[in-house]
Amino acid sequence: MFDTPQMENVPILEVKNLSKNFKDFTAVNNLSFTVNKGDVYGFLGPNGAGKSTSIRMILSLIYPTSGTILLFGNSIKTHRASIMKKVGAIVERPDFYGSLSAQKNLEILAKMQMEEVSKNRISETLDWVGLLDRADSKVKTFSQGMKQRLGIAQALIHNPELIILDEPTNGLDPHGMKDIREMIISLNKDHNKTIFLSSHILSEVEILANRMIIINKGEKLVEGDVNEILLSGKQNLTVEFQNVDIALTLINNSKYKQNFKSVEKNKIFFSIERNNIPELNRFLVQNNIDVLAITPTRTLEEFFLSLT
Amino acid sequence: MKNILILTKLEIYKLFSKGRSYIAFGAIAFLVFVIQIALVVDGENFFEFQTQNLRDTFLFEGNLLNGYLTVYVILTALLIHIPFLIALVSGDLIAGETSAGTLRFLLTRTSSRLEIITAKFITCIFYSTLLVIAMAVLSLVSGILLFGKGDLFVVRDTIYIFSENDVLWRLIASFGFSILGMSTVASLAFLFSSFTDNSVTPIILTMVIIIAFMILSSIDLSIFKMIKPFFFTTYMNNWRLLFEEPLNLSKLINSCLVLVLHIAFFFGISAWNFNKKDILS
Repeated sequence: MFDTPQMENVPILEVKNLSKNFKDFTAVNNLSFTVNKGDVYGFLGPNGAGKSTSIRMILSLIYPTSGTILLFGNSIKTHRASIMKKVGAIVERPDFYGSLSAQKNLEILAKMQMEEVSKNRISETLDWVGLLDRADSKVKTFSQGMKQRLGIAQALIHNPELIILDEPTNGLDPHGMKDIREMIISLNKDHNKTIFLSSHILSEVEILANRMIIINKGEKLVEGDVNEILLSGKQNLTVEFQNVDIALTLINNSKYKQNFKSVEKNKIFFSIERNNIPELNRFLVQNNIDVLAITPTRTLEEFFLSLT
Repeated sequence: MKNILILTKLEIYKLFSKGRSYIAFGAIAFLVFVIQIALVVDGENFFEFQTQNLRDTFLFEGNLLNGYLTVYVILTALLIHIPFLIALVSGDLIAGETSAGTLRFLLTRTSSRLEIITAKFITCIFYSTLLVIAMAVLSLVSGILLFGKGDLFVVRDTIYIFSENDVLWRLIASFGFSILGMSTVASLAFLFSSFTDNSVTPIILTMVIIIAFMILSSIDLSIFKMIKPFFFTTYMNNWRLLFEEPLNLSKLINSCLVLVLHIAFFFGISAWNFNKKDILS
């Protein structure tokens, strides 16, 4: 269905010193980052961090107060039309013409791209997102998950090189989230699309992205390789025990007391370096403690706290 | 130019896929039908009442309650109220897409903002034109079928009598002039639509302005008379000049120019605002 361009490590999106002020409020402050071809680039931050404002500036929906945005080496200010041929996007929730069918919505959006898009291509795209059997249904009858999939279809219809997804799993049930994540993986791995993925869910970015930036209050906190960033610093860990009292006594008399955070029912919560997790596990097992489960539970908020 | 043509076709398609776009056509068809039926039932009495003061001095002969008179009655009655129906659609063209969120999708395509707003504006004018044409065709066809043709008797400050073969062009020209008047209203609603994120505000604002201008124009105070030439509503009703003898062509052309300038001004401001605004919805 898609062209499969060769992977090259070249910058596709370069954001330099980007700022946006709304009267007295600074939504984005001096933000810089680079997305390379072939990346799944995680754009992470809590709600209100400035993610959507940044994405809107990249797509020229909002004009920056200062800074530059280069896509495919050209400024979005001066080469908007040629750039948008290579970009597909979902900005926040996907909204469509509810009284029109999925097929008609895609036809309209394809024609607005000023490129010939065949009906066959539209059907293929609908098929790829699992909506071919609902092609003729009015969009107002669609669930949130179906709209999200149609949103991805409209972003893909003109076969773009860069796909910008703003919180694509927002409002979806776990099944819907899984579907969308699998689509993102497939787009990147099977079709060599570069993905710019905005999210406020750390685990989502951890699963999908190879590089990421974390922003808060419009400013960059950290940028780089996902694994390198996430492996640095302490991680929250939940350990589930058969007998939590015995485990708690053992831990209180060991060096892991300093890692202890709290206890709840048969679970103990730790804050521990990722590299020390196997050692903790060995220590518990060697002391005949029955461990039922070990689960890393670092939330985005906790990760922010570890960064600041 | 090719892009604008493609976009305009898409806009017209989207417009007519919405139920609200047909409300105005339905309302006009209904009103024309009701007025014509009422004139069939009670037309003679109506005509006698209108001419009661003249019956002592004039002798009325022939088919004076004819299709042309009914069209003139419909024109007089409906043109004041159609602006609301026009605003209902024009006010929604941008604001409706902003509130629905579909504007984001449109603006992340290759088309420029200027192309998109131009296509929307052409659609807005097309809709107003189509509505007036629908009104013209409906009223003329039904009027002539029900009442036949005849001389047109117009009572204003003076009495004007137009012979049968001198009426049709005047009626068609009146509808033509009304297209300009209604397009001015549509442009105003369109302008407000470019500033707001909901489609109710442009409709209300447009109607408030039209009603306020009309009220102020109708009050015979010298201060209002002074500012009356600055109200576009003053020129909207000048289609009536076509039913005067001799025809005041320069005043008619002047009115047309004023309305065209208003349309251009409203579009200019809309385009300027749409081009510079941040899409936050």
